[in-house]
Amino acid sequence: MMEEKQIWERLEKEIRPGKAAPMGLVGELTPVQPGLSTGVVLTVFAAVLTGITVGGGLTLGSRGMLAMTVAQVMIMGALGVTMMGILGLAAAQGLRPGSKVWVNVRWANVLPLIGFLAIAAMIFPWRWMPETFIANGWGCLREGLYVELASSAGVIWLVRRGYVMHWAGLAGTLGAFCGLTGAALLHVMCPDQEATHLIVWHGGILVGGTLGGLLAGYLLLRGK
Amino acid sequence: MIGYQAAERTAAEQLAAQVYPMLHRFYSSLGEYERADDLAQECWIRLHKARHSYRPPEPVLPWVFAIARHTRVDQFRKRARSSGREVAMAKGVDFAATAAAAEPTVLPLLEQLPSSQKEVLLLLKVTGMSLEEVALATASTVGSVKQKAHRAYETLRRLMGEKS
Repeated sequence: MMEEKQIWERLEKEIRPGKAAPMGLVGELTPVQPGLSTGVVLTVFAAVLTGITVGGGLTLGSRGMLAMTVAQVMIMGALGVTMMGILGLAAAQGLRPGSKVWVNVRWANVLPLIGFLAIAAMIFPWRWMPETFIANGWGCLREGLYVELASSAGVIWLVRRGYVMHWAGLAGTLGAFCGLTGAALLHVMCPDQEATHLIVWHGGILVGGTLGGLLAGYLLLRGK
Repeated sequence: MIGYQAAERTAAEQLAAQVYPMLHRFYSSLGEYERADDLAQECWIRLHKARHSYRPPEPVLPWVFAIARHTRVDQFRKRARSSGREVAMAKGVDFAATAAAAEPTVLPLLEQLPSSQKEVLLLLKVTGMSLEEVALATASTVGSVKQKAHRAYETLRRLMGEKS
């Protein structure tokens, strides 16, 4: 049996030599700004999330915030920041080829939804009211989708500054982040802090964002 | 790479002189014998377009080979799509088989390895990157790269034992 070293040496000899670069390979050159750091991506995410939540809360009202207890506000705030961090790391690694893999993109894309559903089910009261369920929820869903569209403008800037290799994964991450901003603003302004409403309608914003992102990624991939 | 980003022609030419042969060697060793030229040039175009996405002082080769791997996957996908629409008029020459027939011992055996193991082995050997750098280029972990290289080596050793 051959030893590892011998196999390596023979492989070294057998690999074909590479061809030299053809003449004129380096064409027109223009200076470019170096790529985005993880810190910049996280800062953009934090700015978009804070801007939309605070700005939306100030202009559209913060009745949801007032309907929550201090503990609920703290837990939901911590959840939002943690999810933003995870999605930011996933987006940063998706925008820079050859960067360190911090989080599994598939997990990062579904984690906000799982976290939100689990926490909402645990810390909010279950008082389902069938007469207002659809009417209230439909309004929330519509507003959440508008917010998602607004926050997508911020993330499109990031995509333009990076180089995307895996469209489906990254678009899912960015979609999940837009969903997170939508759900965060709804949480601040929606007075209906009831578990069923939160899980179905506010959770629906997260699902819509992630699925919308994945669909956009799939279409971009098909178009390439 | 920093000079290349700042549009310095000498830096760009130096980078091309260092990286292009590596890319060509990588593609031709992966069994893309007749397409190595096209792939290397396509990859260079992508590297040029994506040069803003490199961030100093991170290592350059993982960035280069992450894009190189992606170029190959994209081309493979395109070929698969177009070959489904094309009808062969006559049986062509199997360049890969002819090349393989003239090959000495180890390299043809690589064809029997799973694609991911073959790629890891060649990245380690062709580019001289460290385990950490190969992990960055393949978007995986050092442990996974070590495992793939070990499994590839075990398979090669077994195949060579069978052959001898």
